Amino acid sequence: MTDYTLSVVQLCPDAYRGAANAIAEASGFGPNNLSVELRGPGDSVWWGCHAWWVPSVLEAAMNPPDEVPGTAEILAQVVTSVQVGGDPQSHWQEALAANGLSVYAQEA
Amino acid sequence: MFGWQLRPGLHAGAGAFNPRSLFRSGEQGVLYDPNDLSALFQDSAGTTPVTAADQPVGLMLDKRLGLVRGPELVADGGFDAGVTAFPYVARGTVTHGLSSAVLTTTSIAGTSGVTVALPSAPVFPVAGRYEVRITVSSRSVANASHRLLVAVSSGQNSGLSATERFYAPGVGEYTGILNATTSNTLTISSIDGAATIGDTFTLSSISIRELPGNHAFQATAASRPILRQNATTGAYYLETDGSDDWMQTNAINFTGTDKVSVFTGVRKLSDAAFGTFVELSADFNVNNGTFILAAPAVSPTRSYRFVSRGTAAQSVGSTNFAPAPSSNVITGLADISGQSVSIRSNGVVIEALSASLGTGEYGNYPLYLFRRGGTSLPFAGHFYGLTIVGRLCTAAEIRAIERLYAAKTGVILA
Repeated sequence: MTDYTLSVVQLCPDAYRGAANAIAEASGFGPNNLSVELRGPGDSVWWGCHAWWVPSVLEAAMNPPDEVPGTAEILAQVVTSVQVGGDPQSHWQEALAANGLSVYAQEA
Repeated sequence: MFGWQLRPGLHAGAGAFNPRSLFRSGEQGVLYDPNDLSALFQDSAGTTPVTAADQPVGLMLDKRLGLVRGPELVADGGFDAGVTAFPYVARGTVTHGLSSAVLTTTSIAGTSGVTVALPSAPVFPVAGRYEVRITVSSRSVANASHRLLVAVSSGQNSGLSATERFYAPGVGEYTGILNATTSNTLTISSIDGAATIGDTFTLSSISIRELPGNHAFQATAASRPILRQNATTGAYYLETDGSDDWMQTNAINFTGTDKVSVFTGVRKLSDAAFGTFVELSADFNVNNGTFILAAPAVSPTRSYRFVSRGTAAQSVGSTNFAPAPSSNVITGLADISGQSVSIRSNGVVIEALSASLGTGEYGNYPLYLFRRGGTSLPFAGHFYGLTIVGRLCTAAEIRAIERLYAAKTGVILA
């Protein structure tokens, strides 16, 4: 199955962002996947992303290459929400709300 | 398949009009057509074509110059006279076979075996995208996962860390469309932690040809828009997720003009936050010689706002004339020395302003799609294509291209 049918939101505390992005890059997903700056409880800094995945990517994400030390511990800090299809913006907003997060205010 | 593509359900209402004709005098600009799948790739390296809806888009080629490849840049890429294409060899040997180059690993270092490289410079005569093609005619390896990495690199032995790359995992022909600068070279390395002394790869050809144009790319998987298809018009479009999707080009040199025409077909899904649809430079607020089409602007809500800046910014689209969700054919026109800027929606002038945009010409900046500078203010909606021409188009040209985008978006022009 090659269609990108899974809507995936991933959220990560700031302290783990660099390592989580390194794992994604080592897995072939390119740099800086967690790129949306968020704010959480107590003005804590989080980062997030939304992506479309094929099911095989979800399986690979559950078993990432161990090229970055402590991969399992780092990924344990990443919140992952998966839906089949649907509206990506609604999924994104729902995932942020469920985790008490909001997009960091940006000036136009 | 290099012409403007029409899908079933789309009417060729503009007759023989081809938007490439807008660039007949060598005008700077872009021509993106997501309805032409031959110009779309799932990855930024151009190795995996987009073949259907529901696939991500990591490279969208600029069709303004017809996707015509430049001349061959590798001397004797068929290895007829020898193996002089590779003056640099590390951890191995290159021997001349029957119109082929045989790469043999003689030592290993870390994860890599033999590496060969083209001359250190100049391989790539100008900065831009190049179609790199190699043919692996045979291989003899102890471990099946031992494969070749083809990379644009900063040095003759630095391909392993290069970001512009693709793999040749077996026998066959492999193609990538890689970004390069004039100081780069091309390396081919055998890697993957499986290199074994005595492994061989036989190359029967290598080719490098420029693919001119201002191509839009996204190297980050999560930030790639996805291709969808309009069930009514049949047209393909890029869907952005409104959170982190965006694309960019290399710097586009608009310094030869102080006039610009911007055309697009768009469906805007939300008015909740400022959306950057297309912007020349990372931020028009701080860079002279720039323009932006916002979809929408906010505080107060303005459906689509077109801003142009010489040394002073002027904006048009001051009302909420198309509340989300809304499909529109939007045209922005600006002339710095002529002191004019205007925006049209669905064939109607929404606002035209005569005011000073300051002085100068447009700049030499990357073009950003769907997110300011790739970091903020994302656009949520559908992208049916984009044409930017470095001059003011005529009334007849405007009407013709607006018809094309109307057919794709399903908009009825006034």
